Amino acid sequence: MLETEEEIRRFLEGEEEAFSRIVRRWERKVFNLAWRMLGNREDAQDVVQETFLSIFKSIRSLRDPNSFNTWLYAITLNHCRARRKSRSSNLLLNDLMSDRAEDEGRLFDVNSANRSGSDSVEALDIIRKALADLSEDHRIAIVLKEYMGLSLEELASVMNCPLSTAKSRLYHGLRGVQRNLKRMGIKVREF
Amino acid sequence: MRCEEIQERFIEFVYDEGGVSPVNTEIQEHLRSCSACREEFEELKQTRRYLQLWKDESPLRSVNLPVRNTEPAWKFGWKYARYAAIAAMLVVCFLAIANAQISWNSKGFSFSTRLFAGRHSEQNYYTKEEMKRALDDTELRINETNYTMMLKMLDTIEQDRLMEMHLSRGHAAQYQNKN
Repeated sequence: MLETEEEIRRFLEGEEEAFSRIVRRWERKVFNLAWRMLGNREDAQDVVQETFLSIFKSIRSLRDPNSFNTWLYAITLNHCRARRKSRSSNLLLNDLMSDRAEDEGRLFDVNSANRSGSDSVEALDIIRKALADLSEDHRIAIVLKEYMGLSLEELASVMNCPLSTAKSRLYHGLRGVQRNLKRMGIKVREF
Repeated sequence: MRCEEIQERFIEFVYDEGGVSPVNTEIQEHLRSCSACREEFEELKQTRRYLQLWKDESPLRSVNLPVRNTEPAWKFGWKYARYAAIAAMLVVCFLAIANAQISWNSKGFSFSTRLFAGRHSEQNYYTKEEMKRALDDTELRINETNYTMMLKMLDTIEQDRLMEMHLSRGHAAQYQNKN
């Protein structure tokens, strides 16, 4: 984070290259956040572009460069919401749930999935479906905590809610994923 | 603590953010004694591990970076000065067309224009007296022309009559000579 702060300072002082270094550093994170929220790579890529344009225009309004990551994720989530609204991506995500019946009775071995490429693809599809069925708040909580690695305090900051609410959303999100996996017949073996 | 209260606090344990506090010690003790909560806790941890199977990927394309305006200030100003000059020229043209005047007087037709509306010079117009005199002259010239034409017509008729008389006299003399 210290380096990002330094890059922000340099950019604000007029060094153009500093912004491209910020983009290189964070674009992968933003892409993966958007992909997990929207379930679609192309939409996620568009969100990355829109997010960094917003950042470029409004970086002067960032009061505390220490909180750049939470600010960046909050902007990304706003663009994800806008995109879902405009393209009805929710329908797309919910459609993924419709073929739940096909997955009935499946037994999934996490260890073997780590080894086999095709199983990983299958696991990705299952997780995407399990997340798609969550409410938006629960999905955001899971994605930010599980994949972006935010602390519970940072999670509350991005979601603009009290810490207790953030914990509750995360807990119920995790329970929701667990419930959806069971509904799809996924039994994660103990290991 | 009841099982429901304990489960609400699982999240700190699942993500290992609980730290060391009396409440956490209480939860740990509860987990040791309650098999249902222990099972719930383990399932949440396994769900987490399952979620980790969705790995990060690289973006499909690089971001198109916006370019900040780096033109020197004078160049930037010159661009706007050009637009201002074109706008001023258009205003001048508009005013010139709006206040244009075509007039006709004793010296002939004339075209004049000015930027701001105002009285045009009197000499561009006929005065009342000039107009009256011009009309009187015109009427006089027309009357003179008519009179001259009528005189010419009468003269022509008279000549025709004399010619006919002369011819008829000639014919009568010839007839008498034959007889």
